[in-house]
Amino acid sequence: MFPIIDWNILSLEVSITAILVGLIVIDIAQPKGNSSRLVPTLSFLALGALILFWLFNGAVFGTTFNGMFVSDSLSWDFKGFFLMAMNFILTMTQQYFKTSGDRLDSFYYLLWLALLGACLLASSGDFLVLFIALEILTISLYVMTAYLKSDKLSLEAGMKYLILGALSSAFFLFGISFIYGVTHSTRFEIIKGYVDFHGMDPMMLFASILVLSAIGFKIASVPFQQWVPDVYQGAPTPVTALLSVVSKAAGFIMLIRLFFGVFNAWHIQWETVLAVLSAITMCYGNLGAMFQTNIKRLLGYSSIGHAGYLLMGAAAGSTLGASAINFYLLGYLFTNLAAFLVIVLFYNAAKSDDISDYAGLAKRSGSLAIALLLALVSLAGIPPLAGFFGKFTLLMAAVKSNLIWLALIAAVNIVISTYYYLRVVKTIYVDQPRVTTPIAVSFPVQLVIGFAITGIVVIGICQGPFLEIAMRSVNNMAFLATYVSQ
Amino acid sequence: MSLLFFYFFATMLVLSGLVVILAQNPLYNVLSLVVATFCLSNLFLLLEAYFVGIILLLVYAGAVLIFFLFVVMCLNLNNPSAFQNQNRFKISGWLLGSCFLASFFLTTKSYLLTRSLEPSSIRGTIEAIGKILFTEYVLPFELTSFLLLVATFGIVSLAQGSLKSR
Repeated sequence: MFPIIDWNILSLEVSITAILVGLIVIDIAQPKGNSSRLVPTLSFLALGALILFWLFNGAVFGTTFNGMFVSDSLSWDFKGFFLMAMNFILTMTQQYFKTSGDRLDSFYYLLWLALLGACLLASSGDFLVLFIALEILTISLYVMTAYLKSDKLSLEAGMKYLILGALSSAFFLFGISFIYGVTHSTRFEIIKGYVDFHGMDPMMLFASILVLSAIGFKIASVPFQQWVPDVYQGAPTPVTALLSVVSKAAGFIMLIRLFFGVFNAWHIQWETVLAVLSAITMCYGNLGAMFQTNIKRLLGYSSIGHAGYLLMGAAAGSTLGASAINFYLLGYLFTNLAAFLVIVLFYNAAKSDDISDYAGLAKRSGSLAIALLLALVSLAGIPPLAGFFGKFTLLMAAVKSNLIWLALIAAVNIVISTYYYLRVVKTIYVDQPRVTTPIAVSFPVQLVIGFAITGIVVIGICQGPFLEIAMRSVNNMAFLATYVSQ
Repeated sequence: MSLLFFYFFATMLVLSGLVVILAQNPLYNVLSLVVATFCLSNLFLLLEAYFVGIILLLVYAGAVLIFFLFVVMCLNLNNPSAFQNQNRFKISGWLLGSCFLASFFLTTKSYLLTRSLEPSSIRGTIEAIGKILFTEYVLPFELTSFLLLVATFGIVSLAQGSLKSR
């Protein structure tokens, strides 16, 4: 029977598709020569329209395509998250490829496709849709990672990411095939019904470990974190930003959807596994970051560390833990994207990502220095910025679920992380600059930086409304298991 | 009779799979992968999943692997010593692989002991698969078109000349 389709539920995805097709058609139709400006400008306008649509149109909740496509509070909020992240990433792309030629249009198409994949992933209610959405996102990331073909590091990064990503996709598919074999369905609803009824089942446990390994690859948790430093360093900086925010958030949506919903009947087993993974991940990330000299590599290790903190919320296994993940990701979006935006602008001026070249940045450009300062300090978790309150809620969730040892390890890690973040801050503010030419930042870009800074500060100071959104999006989530405690 | 065929092809599949990872000459690796795919497609045929079986044979054994073979022959990888210096991963690889296999066996065994598996009621003919694909699974099917779009953009942008100097 052909499924009943409610197009209202799909409105955002349909709009993204329409924009993508429109961009391609306009790009082909226009006369040759003046190509390099049109697609970026139109992308900005279209994204602005989408953000307005997201803000003011309101969500249409429900399921369609026989439950394969689910629109609920979690997916809708994360779609807003992706649109917001895209805003920064488009700015970065525009700045990063300022000097390059006309091959850039397909980069924008790939960005839109990655956005589409992420939105579909947030809304999937079926393992097949989930897998295809994940592949749309990941494959566009592979290509974008290797985009600077003349750059050996970029090619190496793309190759590494492709091979390890393909391996994790294979694990994921293998897991799905087991789940299908046991439950005769790929639909989340039916699988959840099976799990609630049959409870502990070794075969499903095995399958969910395979699925978890694919999620671990996406969020860069141990033991699937090996690719992170090289890929973060080699990829073009906008892609690194995309990887660190959108791709990680996509992984956490899967984690929340599957391990707080579909598989949650075995929370007792998961708690230990996720807690141990979380502890190892944060130690690995923070210890690895101590001795880095390249800022993108440093942020790569730091993003492993943050995956560890975030996993703490998953290990807590309560709705508080899941909302803490959401809240932390929101702060992380502004913080990390502010940092990467500064990295892009600095690279344009200095052609370097080495931390030692950042010496005396404060004397060369006040706004860049303040943005990077706030971003790093927020990543380190110093009050009153977004990162502090995010870490606080995560720690609170862990303590409430009796994971005091994990909270202690996290606290030690936060102290360690302060060292390497503040080392960069010291380089920016205290060290003497080798080059003293000021770095000019154009007004629109300054606006975007200002927006990011506002985000970091506002989320840190008045957390209430944001935390409420994070709570609401988890509490009204589809497939939320009844076992999950408050 | 079909049980006999099953055991024959299953054994062949495992053996050729072992050859894929153990043989030193890349040519043998690819050729045994062709054999493995052939055996796999026969297993699907025995399960009455005709469409999947034929597609495996046509697409994988027929197109993809032959293409692989061309690449291997063009690259002229006759010197196996290039692949020999990865011994430090060998032990951990075998260890991980056998752990995986053991857990796989244990879980599957316990599962098969508790319940019996019945074959799917849907026959795997082209007609049946087409019906399901265009009704129940129409969303994932249409979404794969985006996957193809990504692949197209990827190939075009990676195959074009490199970006002007950054």
